[in-house]
Amino acid sequence: MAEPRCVSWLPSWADPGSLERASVGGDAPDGRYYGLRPAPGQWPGLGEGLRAAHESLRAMPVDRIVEAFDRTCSRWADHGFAHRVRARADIVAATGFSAQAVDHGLDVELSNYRAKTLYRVLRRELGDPGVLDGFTADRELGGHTMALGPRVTTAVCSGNVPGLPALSLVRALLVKSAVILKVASGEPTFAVHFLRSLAEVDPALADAVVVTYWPSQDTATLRGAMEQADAVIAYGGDDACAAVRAHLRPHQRYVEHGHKVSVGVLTGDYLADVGLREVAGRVAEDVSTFNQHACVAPLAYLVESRDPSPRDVAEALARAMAEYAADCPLGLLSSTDAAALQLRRANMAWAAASSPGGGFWRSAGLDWTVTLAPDLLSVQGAGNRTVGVVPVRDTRHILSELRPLADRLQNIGLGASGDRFWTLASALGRLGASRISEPGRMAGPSVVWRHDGMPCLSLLLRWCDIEMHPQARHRVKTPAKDEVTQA
Amino acid sequence: MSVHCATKRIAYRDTFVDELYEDIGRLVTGDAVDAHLVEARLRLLARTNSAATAAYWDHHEDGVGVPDSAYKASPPYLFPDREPVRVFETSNTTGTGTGRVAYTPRGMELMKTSIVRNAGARLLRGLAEPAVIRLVPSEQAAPRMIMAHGMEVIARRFGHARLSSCVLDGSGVDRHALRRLLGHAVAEERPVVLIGATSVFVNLCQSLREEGESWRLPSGSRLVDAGGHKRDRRVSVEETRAMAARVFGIEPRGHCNLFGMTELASQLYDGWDTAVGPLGERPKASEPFVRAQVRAPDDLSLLERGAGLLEVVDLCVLDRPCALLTGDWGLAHPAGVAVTGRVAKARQRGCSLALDQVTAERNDHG
Repeated sequence: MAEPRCVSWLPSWADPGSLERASVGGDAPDGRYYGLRPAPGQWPGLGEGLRAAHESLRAMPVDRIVEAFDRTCSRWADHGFAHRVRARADIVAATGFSAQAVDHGLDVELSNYRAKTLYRVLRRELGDPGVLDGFTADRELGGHTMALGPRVTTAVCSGNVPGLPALSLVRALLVKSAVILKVASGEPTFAVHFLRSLAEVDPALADAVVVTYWPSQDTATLRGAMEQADAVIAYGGDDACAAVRAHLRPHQRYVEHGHKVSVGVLTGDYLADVGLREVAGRVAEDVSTFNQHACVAPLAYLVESRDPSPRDVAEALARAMAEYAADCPLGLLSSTDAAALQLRRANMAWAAASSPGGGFWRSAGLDWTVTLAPDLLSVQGAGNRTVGVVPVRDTRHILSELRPLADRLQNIGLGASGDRFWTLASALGRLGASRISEPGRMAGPSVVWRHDGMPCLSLLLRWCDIEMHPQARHRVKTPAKDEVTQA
Repeated sequence: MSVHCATKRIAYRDTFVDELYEDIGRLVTGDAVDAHLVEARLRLLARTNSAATAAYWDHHEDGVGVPDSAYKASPPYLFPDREPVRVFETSNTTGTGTGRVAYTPRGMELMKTSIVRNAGARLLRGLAEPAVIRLVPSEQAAPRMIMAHGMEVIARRFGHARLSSCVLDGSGVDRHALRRLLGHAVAEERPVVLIGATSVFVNLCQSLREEGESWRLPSGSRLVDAGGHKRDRRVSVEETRAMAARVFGIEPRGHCNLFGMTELASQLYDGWDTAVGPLGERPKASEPFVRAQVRAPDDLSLLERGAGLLEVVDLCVLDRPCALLTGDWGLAHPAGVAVTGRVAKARQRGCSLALDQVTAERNDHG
């Protein structure tokens, strides 16, 4: 049996002796991975080191941080990049995703962190990215303003999307926060490879990050990690997020990405304009990316009962799913997940067989499943490329189908055009959607998007304004370094 | 034997059904009847009389059991020309609603034949008129509960009339009645057969133990637990046996687990006293008229060894498709198939949520 591998990243200043092993996925003797977590009583020391690392980050221009991510991710764009090759193999082993599905997921995820995109998100959320470096003139204020990130951010990641830990890392480091990154048992391996590659580009950035792991029931370690943080980012289901929330302290910044649901909408006009085959290919892309485990992936598409009919769409989608899987297969499922999927399929097949308007299509293996379902809430389960096509009559019907999901609604792939597009977009936004994109673009939201309807950089920040002071009227900008070194 | 090739629905009083019914009865009672042929005729009947079953088998794996969820949404019933005489309801142990399972008179008769045959061979062999004490409601109190019916059939056929009774009502186990029945059985040295749901038995044993109450039941007494633990903590077979020994003085070999479902007419009993499952689950004995089998999670092929989806093919089921995908894990072993728990819905990963989970949340919140 292979020796378990470490999924943690430690800064160069950290003392490995203060950490202990935590087997990923419990105490099973055949655990393939382990993480390092501080031994009892050791969190304060680690927190002190991270706060010192934060001071180094604060002295660093934001341009340098953007540049570091840009260079790192440009290297990851090369499928032969050594860290990517190792990460791909580890992610395949950890998740069962096919190598092609992992590659596609990493391309989607990491293309977000190039300089051009990062500056867009900085400008959109902060106006002038320079506010992160020091006081900047603010015309509306009639003074100056400066944005200060947390000294330390604790990010609790989920394991559903390979590469997703990079998002929390990027957001926190962009605002010059040191990071405690807790990886998930579902996919614990990506983060350490990314940190190694970041360290090769800019060691000071990687020196401000600890990648750690603890089992979900280890509330003492969770509490210890949160006590070191000024801000907390949490991904996961309701229970996981509730466990994090239970340890929040007053004045801690908190950004939560809990359970969400995404769906698509296809109007008759859109299908006629774009063409059935093309639309089906786009929907297959939405469903299949990340094997449908991301919350941005649609679980169903609402299709207007026009020509082509919802049944035509479902049949075309089945063909498109098969074509997609031929190039990019699902991968291997654990016997538990495979059994659950087979039961879901049997339930869906029976539902289709016993309903006059029903339909059921599937691959010979487990790669994909398409159903024609009578309504949205009868679409069963989530994940592993199983999508429902639901016939709808008109705009009112679309909204009535989606209304029960309003609290959980996130991403809509909206296939509509002209006035109809704006009517539907407005109604869907009011209903609860936080992102609307064209079909085929659902799975790759930009980091510029206000994720789950929140300005995720801004939520981490504290601002300091200077107003009503004669000094501030004359000063244009002060370099961050002066401010920091004299503080 | 009449041959039926047309796609026209087969009537309840059709010769095809008459002969099939007779042959199933003979198969159960041990006559030389070709079980494969009976199964083929049952499948033809299901295909012909249920468009949904035919479509399901055409668009899914041909012949794979109908999922138990079918009985919640649109239950298959093969004889619309014959009003059901009984309808049983599923227990909602998975929290996804109650299913309905309808029986014709012939369906009821075949179920009774199967229950009596199997219980006589597997459960009550060597016992003459034991006290059959049931930890279930009476059939009168729970007419839609198939376990109440099945145990009543066993008690009436095999049990001592005066000492056999149900001791479970709406407020729990009737301790007074239990003490009275056990007391008489002990005094008369009449063996006791305790039958009930696993969870009811375990809870009863725990509270009796805490209260310091126990019996030493006459030699040959038996415990039959059914249903396993679908929601509660799961208790191993050895723990169950230890409780039965401590509280009732029942020897380990007097314990037997029974697998039954509302959707099935027959019951499956432990066949070999060999621990196969992770909690010591024993392999179930297949009979010519009912068998448990295991389908591979990746391609639904039948497994000779290993874990997969439990399917039961029950040739005593006349009124609906005879093959059922139960939603349980089965562990195939040379000695038989052990039932090792329910198949969980797929893991929710991270922030993604299933649509039917939204429905469940809404139901949970009223």
